[in-house]
Amino acid sequence: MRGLIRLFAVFPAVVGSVGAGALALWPIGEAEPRSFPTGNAERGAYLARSGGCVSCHTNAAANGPALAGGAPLDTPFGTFVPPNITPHPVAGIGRWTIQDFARAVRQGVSPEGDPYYPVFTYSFYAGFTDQDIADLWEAFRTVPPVAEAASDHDVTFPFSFRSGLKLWRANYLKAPETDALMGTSSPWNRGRVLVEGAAHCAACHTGRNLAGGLKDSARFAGNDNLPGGSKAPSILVADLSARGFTVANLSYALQSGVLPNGDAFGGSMSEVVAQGTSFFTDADREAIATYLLDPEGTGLVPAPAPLPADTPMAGMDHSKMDMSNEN
Amino acid sequence: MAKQWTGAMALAASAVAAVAMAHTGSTGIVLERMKGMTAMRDAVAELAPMMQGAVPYDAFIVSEGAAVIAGHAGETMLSLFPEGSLEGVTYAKPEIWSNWQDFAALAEEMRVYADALSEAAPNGLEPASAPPADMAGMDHTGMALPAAEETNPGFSVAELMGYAEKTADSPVSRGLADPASLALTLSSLAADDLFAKISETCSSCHAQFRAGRN
Repeated sequence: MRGLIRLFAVFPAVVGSVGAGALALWPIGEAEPRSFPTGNAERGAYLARSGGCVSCHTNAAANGPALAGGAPLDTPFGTFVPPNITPHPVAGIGRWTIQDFARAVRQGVSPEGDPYYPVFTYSFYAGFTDQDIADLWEAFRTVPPVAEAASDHDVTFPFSFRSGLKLWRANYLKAPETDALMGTSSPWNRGRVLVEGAAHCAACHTGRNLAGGLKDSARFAGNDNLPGGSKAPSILVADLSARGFTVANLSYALQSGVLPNGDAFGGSMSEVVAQGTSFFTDADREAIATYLLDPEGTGLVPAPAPLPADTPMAGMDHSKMDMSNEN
Repeated sequence: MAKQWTGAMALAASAVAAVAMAHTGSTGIVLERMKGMTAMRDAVAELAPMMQGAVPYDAFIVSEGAAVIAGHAGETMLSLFPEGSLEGVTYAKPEIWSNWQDFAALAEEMRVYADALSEAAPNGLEPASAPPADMAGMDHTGMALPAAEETNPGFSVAELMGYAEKTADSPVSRGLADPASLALTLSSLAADDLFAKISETCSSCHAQFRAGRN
């Protein structure tokens, strides 16, 4: 049905365009290795949890089975439904090879050679090693298969023209910078790997342009237009410090959802904590906080601003309302 | 001494609130419940550093703080949310009333946990577990260390992949069916475990029923 719709609505619109035809033929993706190392399911499961695979592809709010398809995401481009990625041969990814899986996760290309929509945050996974992929693969194979496929995306033209994403890829797709820096601490480097890579903080905390590309100039400066109307505050170091964050209490917030002023996360961030960072090791949460509060790796974390003790929520100037309601 | 100081702060805070109120448009019952939420927030802010071990644990303060939270939860909280009370500046979502059962369950859960913490405060914090392996210190480019050294020993593959419930999650909804035995079980828990349940409840309620800036 979706194919028909695409044919009738999209084809006439693009048939006159040589460019569109060229786009459809433009091959994307690179060959994956013939063989992968032996995977470790425990490591893979931790990575699947920290990468957000589990939270996005599971509709926890509807008590859906694990990884059988996530809650729909309403975006300006349409509604996306994270698919069933259980090992079911028809409804899930049971017929995939590890090479298919690797190409999907770190290149964003389907087994059929189609580009995935960037709502799937594969660009953050581009640095995953062969070992990471093998570990993830082992972990995914332990998941009980679910026979029901998730609904299709509901995306309107021109975004429904998937080959158009190849242009997007050419413009915006780039691997995250997660290399270790000389002279920085181990937690800082580990934090960088998590923040820039698997944990993909920027996917929500960096604004996007009209094409849905991340605005490099506004890195970590917040995003008021998250799917579903949620808002992500700035996590720039100055703003974190102004809100009273230290490495210790930011780690604690990622574990518990409790903010330095005693408020508790709501919105998407409460889900990130409940389904993501609360599963992390203490060391990893500290690493994330260390990196976010010292993004340049200077070894210095600024002192937090003292918390205003006398600004009850009811009395606050709402135009300057703290992040409490927006995360 | 500390209490007097807190009292003075509270007075000052109310004065600020009263003045600011005129500008924000929160009045009547909406303002009342904001004050309740603020009181809970302040109690959480006071207890959180103790739960992290950042400041010395004080069972008396924990018990008092938990009692404050309990006093603003449960029926007290629900009575401040009469159907459709969205006038003026409010963060309440209309889903509160279309989903009243869930909202009420969370308010009650909060009261049960806070009461339990108030009682269990002398239990103190959970003894610190063995220091975790230095995952942060590993060379991440290889990432091939044995799993035991770097994954959280607290969670199984099934929990991490989401097809088994997190062991830390207690079956609250089932427990609430038998409040007496639940209360007994809860009051035997360590203070930080109960505090974690309280904060989870806050977040869970905020996620469902608190609106963003508008």
